[in-house]
Amino acid sequence: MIALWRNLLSTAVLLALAAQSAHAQPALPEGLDGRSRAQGQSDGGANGPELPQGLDGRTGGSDDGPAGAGPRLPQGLGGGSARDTTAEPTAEDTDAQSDAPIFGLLTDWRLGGYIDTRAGARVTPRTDQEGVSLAETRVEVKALRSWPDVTATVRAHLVADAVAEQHEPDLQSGQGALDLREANVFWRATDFMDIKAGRQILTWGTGDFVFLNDLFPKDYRSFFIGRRDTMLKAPSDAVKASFYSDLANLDVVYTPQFDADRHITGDRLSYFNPFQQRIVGDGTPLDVRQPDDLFTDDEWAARAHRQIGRYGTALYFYDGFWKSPEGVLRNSQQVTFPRLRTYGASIEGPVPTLGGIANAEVAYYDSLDDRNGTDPTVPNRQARLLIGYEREIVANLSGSVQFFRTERLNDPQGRDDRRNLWTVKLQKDWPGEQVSATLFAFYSPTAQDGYLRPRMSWSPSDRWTLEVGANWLFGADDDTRFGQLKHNTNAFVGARIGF
Amino acid sequence: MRAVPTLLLAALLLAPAAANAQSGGAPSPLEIAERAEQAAYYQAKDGRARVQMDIVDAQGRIRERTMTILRHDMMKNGEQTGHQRFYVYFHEPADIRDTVFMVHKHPRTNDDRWLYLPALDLVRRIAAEDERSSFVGSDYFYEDVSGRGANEDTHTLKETTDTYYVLRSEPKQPGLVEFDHYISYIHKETFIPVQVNYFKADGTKYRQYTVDKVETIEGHPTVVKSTMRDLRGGGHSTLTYTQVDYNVGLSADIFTERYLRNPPRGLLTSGE
Repeated sequence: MIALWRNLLSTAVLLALAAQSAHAQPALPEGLDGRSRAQGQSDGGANGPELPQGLDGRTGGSDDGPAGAGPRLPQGLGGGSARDTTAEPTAEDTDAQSDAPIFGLLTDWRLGGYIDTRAGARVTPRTDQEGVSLAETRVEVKALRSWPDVTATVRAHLVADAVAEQHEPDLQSGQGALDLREANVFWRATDFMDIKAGRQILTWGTGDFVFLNDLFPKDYRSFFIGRRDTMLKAPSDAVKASFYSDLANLDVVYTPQFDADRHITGDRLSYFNPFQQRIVGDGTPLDVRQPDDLFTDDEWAARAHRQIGRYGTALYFYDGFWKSPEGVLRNSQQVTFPRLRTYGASIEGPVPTLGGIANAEVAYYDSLDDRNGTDPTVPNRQARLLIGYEREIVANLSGSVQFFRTERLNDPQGRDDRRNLWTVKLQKDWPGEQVSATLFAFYSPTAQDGYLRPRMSWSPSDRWTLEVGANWLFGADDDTRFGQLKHNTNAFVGARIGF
Repeated sequence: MRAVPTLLLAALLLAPAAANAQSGGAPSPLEIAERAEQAAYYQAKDGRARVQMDIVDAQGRIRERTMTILRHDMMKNGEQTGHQRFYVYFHEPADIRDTVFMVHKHPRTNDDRWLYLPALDLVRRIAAEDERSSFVGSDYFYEDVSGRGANEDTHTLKETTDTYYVLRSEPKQPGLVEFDHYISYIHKETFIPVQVNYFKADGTKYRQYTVDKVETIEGHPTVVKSTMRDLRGGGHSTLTYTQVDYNVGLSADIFTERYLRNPPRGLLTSGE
């Protein structure tokens, strides 16, 4: 006991002395005082620090490399090629280069994911829907394996959904107990070409929750009922080839079978039914016919892009279908997806003097089934314009504004052919507390409708995230984009644990 | 991604200090500051490291982040231009795994920063420009790791000890920073800033940076462990660098959208 006290006392005295001397000037850290104290360090890679050249007069150089021991051997004499990034293989490279059989054992895969549970309720008068808007647990499993130049990724959601009526997995719509988000192989084929084939998430364009030239499928059901933001993008079954050159880079995406948006059909979200001319719900599902002939009902999308100075610029092309069922099959009560071809361009970059990032994007939607605008069952051609600006207002508070205009072409005289939409986003972070609050607001003065999307999240530890949010939809009319959804206003809570 | 606010990762993380300090006449305060900046941010043509960040709050709760950081210096006629590129790939925690943060650092204008969010396949430019805000929720500021230019402050030599040049530095534009002045203890031979204390106008010391360990790697004295303390809040953050490698041969192409969307997995550090 006495020995213990003596030990503690002497330690305290030593600490006090150390603190005093540290007050005058800091003690040299390990590695600068020429003494080795490296034992027990977590990396375990060092044999103790070595004084560098110029500190102790000796020629420097350690086991780690030849740099200080004289000139580097030229290429071909064992010095390794400076260009070949895998030259001088080190311990950490071997993992990626193991030549195990294709797809290998489970242990060769990097596994991870999360469990996400959330529940939500409708908070305004509802139309033919249950009061519970969301009650589900989603387990994401992501498995990734890489070889030199090849990476395979599988990401799947196992879903237990108490609100859904369908539990049989439908991989196309994502409904049911299994939602396969990704299953693809990426191949860095050459210096100038990459290929990614299989189920994948695809995104391009400059808008924030607003899309002009990104005609890859969206999941609006998830978006409006309070699933994670990352659920907004639905997967495509496609091949993407990317080509790189000094002149420009080119992405070409081929989708052999049309992938529609996960659009609103009455299931989960009440909507304006064009045949009934009123807002309906679960009992009156939208009757949709989707083009689904493999290699016939296909989609092409392309983007040429390059960085010009500090500005990202791009040209876009798409050939396929309207992504939501905006056409009506003649003499029926069925909606469908008419043919669509689009052309567009965008630019994004810093704003001089003012600071922040601005973006502009335009698109021309050529409605191939009704180019003259004479067929009332098919949407007319459109011109779309987006202008956006985002900046930090004060530290940890950023804001953005977007103006989005859609103009229908060939509309009859006197009909209001424009839709203006404004969005405002405010995001406040408290980094120390791991808390973040976001308000994303949409408002259309022409349609007199809007959507408020507040979210707040807190990560009490690295593994846990708690989230609370609401989806408040409103509108003067029943048949506008947000107005038709006004009976779905809801609030939700969620919890997620990562592994 | 909430966990990466307005940050930039960076040079200090990978930067070796000057190895070949020349003895001779005493340098001027500005020269010392410039040498320290040069030593800390512009050695070797490129670098790679695995970086472990431990963020400890006043209650002792620990958060951990693990990253691979790649750095590339832009060259012209064999000379460094001052422009640098950084690629930060997050291994942990699970919530931000596979997220990539990329920076093109420009010496005289604001940096360009991008974030890649894999679940959305989304490449986003980051608008935030405040360099003195938290890096991934830690006590380090973006600027602590990307480097504060020596020309942004006025330096006076307070003292010269056997080991250190002691510099007092005051900001030329006080409105842009939260400190009144800071005192650096710069190792005379390597020019590594071993300790930096930050003060408010009333003389309160509220923030302290210390180098805990230096290793010589490929001839470059390299900070492999450092700590930033928030003396008022009571928290601190520690950065530990392993698998440090210089002159890896990282091509400038890696620091483009191509590799943002699909990381150069053979070049990332591994977890053992």
